[in-house]
Formats: sequence, C-alpha cells, structure tokens
Amino acid sequence: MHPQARTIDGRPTRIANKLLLITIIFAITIAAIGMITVQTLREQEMAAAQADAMGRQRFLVVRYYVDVLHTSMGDPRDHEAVKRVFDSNLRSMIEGGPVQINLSTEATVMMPPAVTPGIAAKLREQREAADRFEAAVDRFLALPAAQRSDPALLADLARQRIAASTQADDAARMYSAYTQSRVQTSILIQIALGLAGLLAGGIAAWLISRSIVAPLQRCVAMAQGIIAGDLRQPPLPIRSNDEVGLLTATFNEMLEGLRGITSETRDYSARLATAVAEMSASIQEQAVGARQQAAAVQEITTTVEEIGQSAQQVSDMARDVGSSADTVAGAGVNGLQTVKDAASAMEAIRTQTESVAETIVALSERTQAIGEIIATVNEIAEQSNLLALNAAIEAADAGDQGRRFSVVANEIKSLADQAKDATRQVRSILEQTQKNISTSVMLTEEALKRATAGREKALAAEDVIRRMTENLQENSGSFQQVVGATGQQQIGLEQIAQGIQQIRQASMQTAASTDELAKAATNLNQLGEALTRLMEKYRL
Amino acid sequence: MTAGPTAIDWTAVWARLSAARSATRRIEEERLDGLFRRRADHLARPPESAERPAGAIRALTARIGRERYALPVTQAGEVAPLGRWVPVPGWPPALLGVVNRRGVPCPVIDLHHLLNAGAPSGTAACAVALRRPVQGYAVRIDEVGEILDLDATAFTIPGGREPVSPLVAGVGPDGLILLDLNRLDAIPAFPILRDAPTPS
Repeated sequence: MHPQARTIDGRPTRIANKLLLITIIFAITIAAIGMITVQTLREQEMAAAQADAMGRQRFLVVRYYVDVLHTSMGDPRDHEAVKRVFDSNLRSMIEGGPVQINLSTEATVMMPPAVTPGIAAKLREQREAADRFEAAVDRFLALPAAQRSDPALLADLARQRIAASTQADDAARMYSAYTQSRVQTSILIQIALGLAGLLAGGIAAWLISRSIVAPLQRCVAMAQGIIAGDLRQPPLPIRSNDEVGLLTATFNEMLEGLRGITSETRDYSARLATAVAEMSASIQEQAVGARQQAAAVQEITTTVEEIGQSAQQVSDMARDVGSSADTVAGAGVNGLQTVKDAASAMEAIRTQTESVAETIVALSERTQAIGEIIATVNEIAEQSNLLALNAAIEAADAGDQGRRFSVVANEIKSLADQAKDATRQVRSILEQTQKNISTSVMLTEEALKRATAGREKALAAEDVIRRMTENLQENSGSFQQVVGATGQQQIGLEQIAQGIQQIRQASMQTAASTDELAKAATNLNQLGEALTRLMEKYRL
Repeated sequence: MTAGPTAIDWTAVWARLSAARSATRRIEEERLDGLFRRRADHLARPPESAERPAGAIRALTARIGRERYALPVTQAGEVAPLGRWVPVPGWPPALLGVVNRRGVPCPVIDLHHLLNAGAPSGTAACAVALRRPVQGYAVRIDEVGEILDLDATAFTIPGGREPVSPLVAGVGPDGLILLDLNRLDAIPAFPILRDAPTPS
C-alpha cells in the first residue's frame, strides 16, 4: 500500500493539515490584528473628524459673531443660519447625530452621544454659553445702530463670544484628550492581541512541530540501532494518526519484519549449512559411486569380452556336441544293456549279503554260548580258589602234618587264579568279538541297504539312460540351433560392449561433474558460513 | 566324487583266518606244555623247611571296606561265599543274621560295624567261619585275599593310641591290619552274643 494512501483509524493522515493549521492560525492572528488596526484607524479618523467638528464650533462662534457684526454694520448676513448649524451640531454632539462640518458643501460627520459625562457637561456649558452669547447678540441687534457702538456693549458681546469660544475649545480639547486616550488604549489592545496571537501561534507551531519531530527522532534512533545490528529494540509508541504515526507504525512493522527476516535467514543459513553438508556427503558418495561404477563398467566390459569368447567356445562346443550326440545316443543303447546287467548283479549281491548277515547272527549266538561257558569256568575257578584257601587253612591248622598239603593247596589256588585271569582275558576278547560282530552286522545291514539302493538306482539309471538316449536323438538337431543362437548372441554381446563403453564414458563424465559439484558445494558452504556470520551481526 | 571303498584282498583274508586257527592250536599246546613243565619243576624241588622263624604267623588276607586285614588262619575255619542271610529280630546291629552252613544255622558277625569300616558296598561277599573260642560264628568280609606268612612283631599300634576297635592287634609297615578275633569277648556287645542261642 502506498504510504500516502494509508489511513489510521479510517481518517486521512496528512501532515500538511498540521502545517496548514499553523498557517491558518498565523493568518487569523494577522487578520485579527489587521482588522483591529483598521478599526482603530477608522476610530482615530472618526475621532479626528469629530474632534475637528467639535473644534469647528469655535469657528461657528466666530463666524456667527462676524456675521452679527456685518449685519449690525449694515451688511446683513444670515447669522441665524450659522446659529442653527451651531445649535444642531451641539445637540448632535450631546445626543448623537450628524454634525455639519462644511457650511458650503454641508458635509456632515456622525457624532456619537457625549462619550463621557465631563464632555456632556462641557457641551451643556457650551450650549449655555452659546445661549448667553446669542442673547447678548439679540440684545445687541435689538439696539439701534447708534447704540451698537457702545464699547461696553461690544466688550460684553466680545466677552460672551470668548466665553462661548472658550467652552467650545475646552469641549474640543476634552474630546481630543478622550480620543487620544482611546487611541492609546486601542494601541495597547492591539499590541496585547498581537503578542497573544504570536504566543498562541508559537505554542501551536511548537506543539505541532514537536508532534512531528519527536517521532521522527525516535524513528531515526531506531534506524541507527538497526544499522548497529540491534533488533531487540521495543516498538515505538504511536501517538498520532498522521503520516508520522504511519511512519512509526511502518518502522515497527519494518523492525518486526527485519527480526523475522533475520531469524528466518539464520534458520535458512543453518538449514543451508546442513543441506550443503548433506549435499557434500551425497556428492562424495556419488563420486565414489561413479568411480566404482566406472570400475564396474570396466570389469563388465572385460566380462562381456570373456562372455563373447565363451559364447564362441560354446558355439564350437555345441557344434562338437551336436556332432557327438549321435555317437552318445548309440553308446546309450549299449549303456542301457550294461545297466540292466548291473541291476541283476546288484540283486545277486543283495541275496548273498542277506546270507552273510544270517551267518554273522549265528556267529553272535555262538559267542553268547561261549560267554556262558566262560562264566561257568570262572565260577569253577572261584570255587577252586575258595577250596584251595580252605585247604590251606586246614593244612595250617594241621601243623607240620599238613605242610605238603598246604603246598598242593597253594598250587590249586595258583591254578584257580590263572583260570580266573584266563577267563577274564577270554571275556574281554569275547566282548571285543561281540562288538566286532555287531559292527559287522551293522555294516552288513548297511551293505544290504546299499545293494538294494544300488539296484534301485541301476533301474532308475536304466530309465534315465533310456530317456537320455531318446532325448539325445531328439536334441541332436537342437544343438545346431544353439550354434545359430550363439552366433546371434555374439553379435548382441558386441552391441552390449559398445553400450557399456558409452556407459563408462558417461560414468567418467559423471565423476568429473561430481568433482565440479563438490567444488560448487564447497563454495556454497563458504557462502552459507559468510551469510551466517553476517546474520550473527543482528541481535535478536 | 567320493573315493570308493578299498577293494578287499580275499586271498589275504583267507590267509589271516588260517593263521588265526593255527595260532589258536599252537597257543593251547604251548599252555599245556608250560603247565606240565611247571608242575614237574615244582615236584622236583626239595621240600621246604618246616622251621618257621620265631614270631611268624600264617594269616588269611581280606578286604573289608577300603582297608586290607589279616586274619590268623588258626582263628579261621572255612571260607565260603556269603549267600542269603536271614536277619534275627532283637539281635544287635553287629550281627547280620544267620546263614545256612551245610544245614546248620550260623550267625554272621558284621566286621564293617565292629571295625567302623562304613556300610558294605556290593553284594559279592564271603563268610569266614571261626574256630574256638567263638566256634560256630562267621564273619563277613568283602573280598578274600591269600594266605601269607607274616612277622607278628612288625605289627604295632601307631603312636600307642587306642585302636579304632579292640579287634585290631597291630598295623604292619605296608598298612596291613592284623586282627585278633579272639578279642571278640572284649567287645561289650559280644557277651550278648554268647547269651544268644548258639548253634549246636
């Protein structure tokens, strides 16, 4: 949104209004002062005209006196008209109304009622003096012409004139003093109003400029803090709805936005570092894989060549096998007869082995009988031993008479001991023989099983050889097809070799590209570290 | 492929069988010849002197438990396999029971018990019939040995200590223990035996 179009609380925010307000305040102040001045000047002008009008009363008194003198001297003048103007003017001065200031043009000036009681009293005294002067004039004019030259009379008339003029001068002087005091009061009021207007305008201008400048200074301080990297500043207070308030709000939003951008940039820098590290690891793995792939392709190439050679050998061998298959088929017929003979021989072996087993069993039974005989002999030897002992005891008991009998008894005991030893040895041999017989029986049984299995295998081999012979005869033609197929296989292997060579070149290009990628990843990692350091300048 | 069984040389087999039969016959003949020669040599030797050294006694050796003992032949009457004996209620543990001796009941004394030789092991045992003063009794032994001429002076009581049984007369240098069965009277339980029904 454009800043000039923004509004705060729905109202237009223009600082020009404030400046216009200052201008209006000063214009109103100046206009008021001008009007007061004009009014004062007009009042002064009116006061001057009124003072002049009041001063002209003395002129009318003198004019009236001159006209009276001219009339008395035979030059009649309309002194009454002058007297009427004088009276009219004096009445207007007391009660308010037009005052004639030019007898020729009959120009008038408006007079207010007597502005002060002193002036009113003075004007009334002036009217009384004028009345006395008019009465003196009337008396003077009523006299005959000869008597009008009486000096006392003239002196009295002159004295009445002077009194009326003096009253007119005093009234004019008082009015002038009054108007002068009014002018001074107006000047003082004008000065006071001017000073008040200047003071009010100055205060208004100071307040308005302060409401503009202080937020701007705070914005400047915030901008300087942001330049220094301090993003922890509190938001600025918004105290107006004009452009300055909008600017302050924008600064707050800008600070918040910078915090978010810096935080996100840091986060993105960390993610970038992690991603670059992972990418570097992947690139290294890819490089290793590319090299391994190239090596594997090389091995595959070698293997394909070997397969080609093997296919050639297979082709040759298939050709040889195909040629010898017929020979093998013929030999298979002979082998079939031989296997039949072997089966018959195995059957004979089985029969004879059964006979051997029966013979061995009979032999085992014989050894059992021998064991019984040995037991009998051993028992006899034991009894002979005891008998010899008893004989020796009896011989000993017989003393010298039994000495030779004692010798015989000892011989018998010796023989009995030898018989016991012999029977012990025979029993040992017999036990070993029985073990050997058991082993022989087991071996014979195994031989019998093998003979049976051999006969079954011979019969199975007979069947296999028969089918093999048939298959060999059927597959003799198939080997020729194998020869053709291996030829096509060789052509395919050559194509595979060319493709693998291309793959190898691509692998080498991939390895080179991977190195370039590794360098780019390193540069990107350095850029990420630089960005991280740059973002660490800003404190969140 | 596994190697096949070794072919049998049947000729060698037949030769070995023939040699075995011949050897059997020859060994039998040689044994008989040896026996006859030894018998002739023995009979041709001059008779032994009847004189015996002073203190020499002839004794029958026997195994009782794990020890070897010597019984003076003058105290022994007959050696016979110990058959099935019948325990007699009320008799002391030193008497196994009675056996049939040619139709005569014969009490059997258990030397294992009197000699503190532990419990007898195995079933094969022998009974030695005694002469006077305890004639009519037999003692049980585990295995009979041979008759030897012993020097009675060589049998002593080691360290002068009290023997494990009054029947022990002495111990020889090779560990052979000489018994004196006439001392059965010294055993406290034996008078009871004397009071028991004696065989006639």
